[in-house]
Amino acid sequence: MSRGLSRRALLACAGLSFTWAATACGERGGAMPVEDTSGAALPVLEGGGDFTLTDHDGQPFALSSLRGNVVLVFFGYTFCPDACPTTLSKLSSVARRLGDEASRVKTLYISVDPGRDTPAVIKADLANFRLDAIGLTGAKADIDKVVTQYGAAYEIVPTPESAAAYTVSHTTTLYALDPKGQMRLKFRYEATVDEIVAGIRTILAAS
Amino acid sequence: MTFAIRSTRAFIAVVTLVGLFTLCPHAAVAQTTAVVAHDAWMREPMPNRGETAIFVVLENTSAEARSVVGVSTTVAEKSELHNMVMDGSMMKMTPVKAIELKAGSKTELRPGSYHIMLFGLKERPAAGASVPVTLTLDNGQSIALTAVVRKVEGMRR
Repeated sequence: MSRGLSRRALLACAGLSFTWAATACGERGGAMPVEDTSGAALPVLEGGGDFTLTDHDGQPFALSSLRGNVVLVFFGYTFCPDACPTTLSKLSSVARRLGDEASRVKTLYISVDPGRDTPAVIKADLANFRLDAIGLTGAKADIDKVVTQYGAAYEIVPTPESAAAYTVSHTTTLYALDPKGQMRLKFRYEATVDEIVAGIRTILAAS
Repeated sequence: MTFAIRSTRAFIAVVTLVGLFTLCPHAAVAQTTAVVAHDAWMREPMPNRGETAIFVVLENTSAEARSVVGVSTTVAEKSELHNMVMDGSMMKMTPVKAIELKAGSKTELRPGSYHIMLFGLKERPAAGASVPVTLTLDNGQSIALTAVVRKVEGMRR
């Protein structure tokens, strides 16, 4: 990254009072945040965009149907014994903390394990959490397209020595889209409930 | 008479001592075992899931490195040692053959790190229940511990 770019990136980060923003900017490397025309504090980030998958009721689901809401997107799989329940329980806390504002926030849990995650499996899994999330699955090729769009990644790792048979390594970033469907924030796995709530409120306030 | 009373008292004392040694083998083992386990807990299994995880703090109080090489419990068909590693933002879940317990140090099996994975749950213990777990060390020693079942935060039930 050139010195000029570094300074601009630094200024962009400094403009955000949230601790995770520094990481988000850092992760983006040389990609510069685009100046937001609406005057909001948060820049529009690259990546994301519309897609269509299958929801946990087996119905086609289009991201565009959620315009007007802040949308949280993350990738995972139901067999995931640790990271995914942790994220889901954290997002349950986020929803509780948002109170009435939670009605303007939708959560999308996109499976990267379509082999195990049928709509019914995802539905049963989500039913365990106090969170109104939409579970999404689909053909591997369709999921792969969304993964690439969002700059996420995953890998199926065979584990013949384990009863799991295979595990799925996957990125744990939580993406926050504004009501126009534009990517505004990326939260690291370690982001706290407070940080996520603050970020969502910033997006809601600007829209 | 006095003699009889004295011998009865002595008899009771001996019986009590023998009884204590017989009843407290675990207390005796705990004092001589170099690896001490505490704060063991199990994530309450979700109704639709056949797997869950157990976490525990292990303290190796000896001057020698040890490792956990095996685990078993009566509530699951298979118990395995696993590790979760964050590689950048990538979460990787891997079965491991052993968990090293460095000499004189504390190793925490916790969410997001080393943990015990249970597959094929035969029982569904609810929050508050106790689950017996046995760890096997590389020196052949076994450590018996009890994991208390805890609910995952944000669960509906």
